[in-house]
Formats: sequence, C-alpha cells, structure tokens
Amino acid sequence: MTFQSLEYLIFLLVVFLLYWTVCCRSKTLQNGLVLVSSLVFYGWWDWNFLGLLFFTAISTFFAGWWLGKTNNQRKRKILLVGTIVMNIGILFFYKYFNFFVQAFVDAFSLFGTKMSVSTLKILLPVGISFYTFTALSYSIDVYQRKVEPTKDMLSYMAYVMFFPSILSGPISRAQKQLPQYFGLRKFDYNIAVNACKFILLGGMIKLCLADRLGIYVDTIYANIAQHNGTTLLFTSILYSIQIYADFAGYSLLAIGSGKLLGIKLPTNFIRPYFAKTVTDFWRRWHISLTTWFRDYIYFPLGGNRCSKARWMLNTMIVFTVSGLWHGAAYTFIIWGAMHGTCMVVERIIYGDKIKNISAKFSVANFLRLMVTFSFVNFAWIFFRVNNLDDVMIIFKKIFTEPGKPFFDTNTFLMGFVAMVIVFTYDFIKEKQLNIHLLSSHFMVVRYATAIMLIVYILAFGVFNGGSFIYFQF
Amino acid sequence: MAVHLFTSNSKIVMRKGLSRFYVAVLLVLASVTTVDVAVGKVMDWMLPQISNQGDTGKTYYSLNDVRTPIVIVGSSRAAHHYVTQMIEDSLGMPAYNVARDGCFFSYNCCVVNSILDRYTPNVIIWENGTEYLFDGFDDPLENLYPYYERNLWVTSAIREELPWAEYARLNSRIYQYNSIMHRVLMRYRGRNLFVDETEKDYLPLQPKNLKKVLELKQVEQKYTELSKTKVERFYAVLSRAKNKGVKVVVVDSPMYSLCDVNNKSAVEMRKICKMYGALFLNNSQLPEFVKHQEYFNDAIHMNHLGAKIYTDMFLEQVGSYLN
Repeated sequence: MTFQSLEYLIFLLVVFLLYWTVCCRSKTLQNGLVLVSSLVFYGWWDWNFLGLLFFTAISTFFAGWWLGKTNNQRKRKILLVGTIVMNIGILFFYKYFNFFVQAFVDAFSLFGTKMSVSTLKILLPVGISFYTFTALSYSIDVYQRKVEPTKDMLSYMAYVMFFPSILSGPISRAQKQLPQYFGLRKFDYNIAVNACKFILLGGMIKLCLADRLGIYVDTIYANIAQHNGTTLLFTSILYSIQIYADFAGYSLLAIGSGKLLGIKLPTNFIRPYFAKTVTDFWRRWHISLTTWFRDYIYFPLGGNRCSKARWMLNTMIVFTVSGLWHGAAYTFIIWGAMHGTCMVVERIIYGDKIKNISAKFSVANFLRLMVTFSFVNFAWIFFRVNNLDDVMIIFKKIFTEPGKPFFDTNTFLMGFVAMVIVFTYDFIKEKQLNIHLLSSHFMVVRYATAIMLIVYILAFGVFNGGSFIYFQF
Repeated sequence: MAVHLFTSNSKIVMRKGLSRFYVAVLLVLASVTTVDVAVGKVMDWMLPQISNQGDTGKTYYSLNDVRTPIVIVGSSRAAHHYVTQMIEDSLGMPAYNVARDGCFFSYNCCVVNSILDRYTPNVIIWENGTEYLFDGFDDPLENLYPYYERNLWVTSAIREELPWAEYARLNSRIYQYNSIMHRVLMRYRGRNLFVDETEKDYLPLQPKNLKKVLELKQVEQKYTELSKTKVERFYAVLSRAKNKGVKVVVVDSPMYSLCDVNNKSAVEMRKICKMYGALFLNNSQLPEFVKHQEYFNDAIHMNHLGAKIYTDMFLEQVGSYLN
C-alpha cells in the first residue's frame, strides 16, 4: 500500500472518518486509532517485521522511562549507550551485515588472502532506518534532558509508528512532534484543507513527474552500455529531477496525511535545486535527516566549535555516515564523502560569508546555482548506479562518446509539462511572489486549480510506477 | 460552567468545520466528475475519427473497423515480420496487419474476439509468442483502456487480469485515456493531412548498421506455470473461430536467440490449436534465420530484408492448410 495507491486513499479516508467521528472526544482513542491503523499499514507491507518495530518502540520507551527515573550519570550513560547499540545493532544487522562481510573479504583479498565467507539472505525491513532514528531521538533527547520522559506508552507508540512517516520519514523529533500526541487533537478546517493541498501537490509531483521521468531513467540505466555519453548525461539530469520529485512528492503526501489527523510532521524539502551552494543544498534537502545528523552526530563531535582540521574531520564523518545510512554500498559512501568534501571546500573558499549569500537574482548567484546543481547532479550518478563499474562506464562515455541523445517524445512531452508546473511553483515560493492559485482569495480560482490538478493527474499520471525511491533505505 | 460552555462551543466549531470540509470535498469531487464525463465524451467522439491513424487509431481500427478477409494480429513482431502486400498477392484476398507494438496475448484475444463478433474473415494470422501462456508473462492492457465497458472482451480481460484498484480507476473516463489524450488530440488535429499507408500497416524496419554485433544468446526461461485464465481464453477464442469456420494460423516468427521450443506454454498452445483445427507453427528457431544475423535489427525484430524472406517461407508453410 503505497501513498499513491487507491488502497491508501481508501485507508486514509476510513481512518480520517473514524478519527474525527468515533475518536474525536478522547486523545486515548485518537492515539489508539493511530496505533492500530499504523500497524495495519505497516503490516500490509510485511507483517513479519511488526515484532521488530514493536521492539524498537518499546525498548526506547522503557529506556526513556528509566533515564527519567535515575539521576546517576554513569547509569544514565550506560543505559543510553545500551539503547543506541541495541537499536543501531538491529539496523546494522539488517542493513549492513552482508556489506561489511563482503568488505572484509575484499580487504583480505587485496593482500592475496582468499576467503570464502557466505553471506546471509537478509530482507531489509521497510522503514527501519527511519523509525529507528525517530525512536532514538527520543532516548537521546531524554538523556540530554531536552524532553521529559513520558509514561504515556500509547502516545509514544503512536508517535514512533505514525503511519504517514513510518516508511520514509520525515524523521520526527521527540522534542517537537511527541507533545502533539499528549493532547486531544481538534479538527481545524483550514489545516484539513491545507492537508488536502499537500496531498494533491505531492500526488501530482510523484505520479506526473517522478514516475514519468522514471520510465525513461530506468530504461537507460538498465542498459548503460548501449547508450552514448549525451544520453547518459541527459539521463543523469533527469534522475536529479526524478529523485527530487519522488522524495519531495512523498514528503508532501506524508505531511498532508499527518495534517489530516491533526499531527504536524517536520518539513523535509525547501526547493533544494534553488540552492546556491552545497551547504545551502543540505539546508533544503531531506531536512529531517540532516538536522538529525547535525544534532546527534555533528554537534556531539564538536561541530564547528573546534579547530579547523577537527571541523573538517567532523564534516567528513557526518557525510560519510549519511552516505552509509542511505545504503550498504560503496557508491553511497562515495556519494556522502563527495558532499562532505564539497562542503569543506566551500567553507575554505567562502569562509563565514557562506551564510550570507544574498538571495537576490544576480549573474553570480545564477552561476553559483548552476555550479551547485552540476555538482549535485554529478554526485547523484553515484547514488543511482548499481556498482562502481557503472560509474566508470558513465563518466567515460560522457567525456568520450558524444552523440544524438535517445529521445522518447511521449515521455518528454508529458514530463516536461509536469516539470514546468513543479518548478514554476517552486520559483513562486522561492521568490515569495504574490501568486497563489491553490490558496487564492477567490474561491473559483482555488477550486479550479484543485480540479485541474486532479484532472491532470488522471490524464497524465503514471499509476504503475512502483514505490518510492527512498523506501529502499 | 465556563469550562463546559467552552467545550461545547469548541465542539460546535469542530462540527461546523467538519461539515464545511465535507461540503468542500464533495464539491471538488462533483466538479471532477462533471469534467471527467465531459472530457470522456469529447475523447469518445474524437477516437473514431482517427481510426487507423497512428498506434492509438490502430487499436480502434482493429476492434471496430477492420473487415478484410485476411487479418494479421500480434505484437511488434507481427507488425514488422509479415509483409501484408505479399500475403495479399499470394492468397489473392485483401489483407491487413493490425498488429501493434507492445500488445501481447490478452490484447490480441480481445482483437480476435471483436473481429469474430463483427464478421467472418477467411484467415487470421496470429503471431503468438510460445511463452505467452505462462503465468506472469508481461501482458499489458493499457492500450485497451479507452474501450473498457464499451467492448465486452476488453472489459472481461481487464477484470480478469488486472487488480481491482486498476479497474476501479477505470471508472474515470479521463483515466481511460491516460497518457494518450495528447496523442488523440494531435492526431485529430492532423487527421485531414493523413495519407493511407500503402503497406497495409506492415511496418518495415530498414536494415541498420548495429553499434553492437548481435550475439546469439540462450533466453532464460523465467516462468514455469501456465496461466489458467490465459489457457481458457485461448481455448475459447479458437473454439469460436472454429465454429465460425475461420482458419487460424498461430505462429511464432523467427528470433535471433535460442530458446526452448518445447516449453510448457508452447506444448499447450500446440495442443489447443490441434484440438480446434488451427495451424500451429513454431518458427522461432528456424536455422535459416538463426544463422543470418543480417536479417535482424535486434534479437527479436527482423528487418525488411528478413521479413520478405520470412513471409515468403511462411506462405509456403501455410499453403496446404489454407487451400
């Protein structure tokens, strides 16, 4: 049951109706419904991993409860470390075990020692990277006394398992999101309408842009050797747009679904391709993950309040870990390290001025934007390919095999229209222009825009495009 | 007392908000339905006017308009492999190639059934991959969406083959024209400029210099079980053809790859054809073609050179059956 499916739409409608009719008088009922519906939603994917999800939620809940009970700093530390090791250990086992075993074998083979180690057939539980981080944020926040430990297990379970964000975030943070579950949610017309706009936009971006471009991108990447450098370069640009549309579309759908139930989820994207530096890009891309890494890895390592060399190391560590978080492959690690390196280089070039680059339009800013996009686009190639050999083929072809690009008129025609809509919308938001269609003062304009969007989705959406790219992480 | 007043007031506000929200949602849904019906009607009106123009028009033509005594149905392999004019000249009857790219077994069952509903052709040449009866074999039906609930065979194929969510979506008329609306519009706009093809919809592939030399590879058998629905459908179509006295040639044309000619699906196909007096020809591995890479543009499509030689040979094969 993916967000863009009809099953989900019906599921959400049923939950919405029950939530605001049967359960609207009690927060216990509301949280209970959220929990039950989240279990149904997650179980729909794979009920085999429900136990694991429960374990993560319960272990972090009791860790928080215990952390609140004791003032002994040593005990608290042991408890926190234990919780982190346990949960990261589970994540490690499911996601990285085979990768590290293989890396170990590869490392030995470099020295001429051939090892035969069999790997395990491990299925990755969907959403594990996301819900583990959501749950851990609570334990760490309680340890740091930023959050009061809760005794309300139901609210906590609803927070960790909240179905709109369980599969691919946005990663919730206990400090901001958890208190919402402690009170009774009241229906607000404006918030609900706003939620529908998010869902509509998210659906359009995912179905009409991401999945449309996905048809072309997947075809080319499935057969890299057959295509020339121009096609591969062009495809890499389209992939940059596809991954943005896919994940931003997903995030809008998740945030919209949350809002419909009166739960505000964190913002995940702020028009990342309008970034003028890579540093700026990371303030706009997958914000909930970036801030998680900032608060729980970068700051504890010393952040930028240390020597320059140490700061560089901290940045590199955070981005390499971020790469590894995305997937157990060298390509992801390189992708993360590339971003880390670029941020270090930017900091050296710009110094403290990096925070104050003007938002106004200028040739210099336009060039910065283009350079940033080019770098990000270049790095996405590592993100998309299956192995490093493919990267080598792509780069070799881009620089040595120009030619006429492979062109699929139908996909481009439909993808291009969606691209224009999405980037015009982003441009209006970025420049804060006073153009509002879905939020116009005129009812006719509002309704007409919504109807046009639905008609556009029905006419040009790709409904069999499969799931979201970030589900694999 | 104050608390109680506040609570009931907030309840009223919430109820009002909910009612307002339901009304807004219903208003949007009603408007979308109206637009959907209107757009659907426009599309339904345009579609017959582009009959036999482009891919979209070809499906309309094959389901509603074709009336030649010889009809060639199938996927891109049929469209590129059977030189219609040669067949017409050899058999002395008008022929037409209604085969369409990316349209396989279930699509062609609908086409053959619709033809049998409308008239009685003398011969149907049905290009059918020998693996088509396997369960799980990719069998897209998107090209038939505009005919859902307008063509009996299409409706039943969609309901049998697709998940409920897909045919639930097909209640939208706009969705039935998903991803082809612009093609219909463009074809409709240029319909007066359309010149009938002389090739009778045989689509020749010109021989090209291949970047990469074709390799003769063994095709891996991905599927093991037969699809019960497809087998039953195949029985039903051939039985109808037999009852109407239509001669059917079920054939798999040459390909430049090695595969198991006696796979479970091929055996079943042969058995059903024999039962209903249809001619079954498994030409996929003919040595005359497997040895000649120059006849192919890719592993599964012959070029015009190969198609001419193949059509000639095919006509010899079917000569005795058709006479």
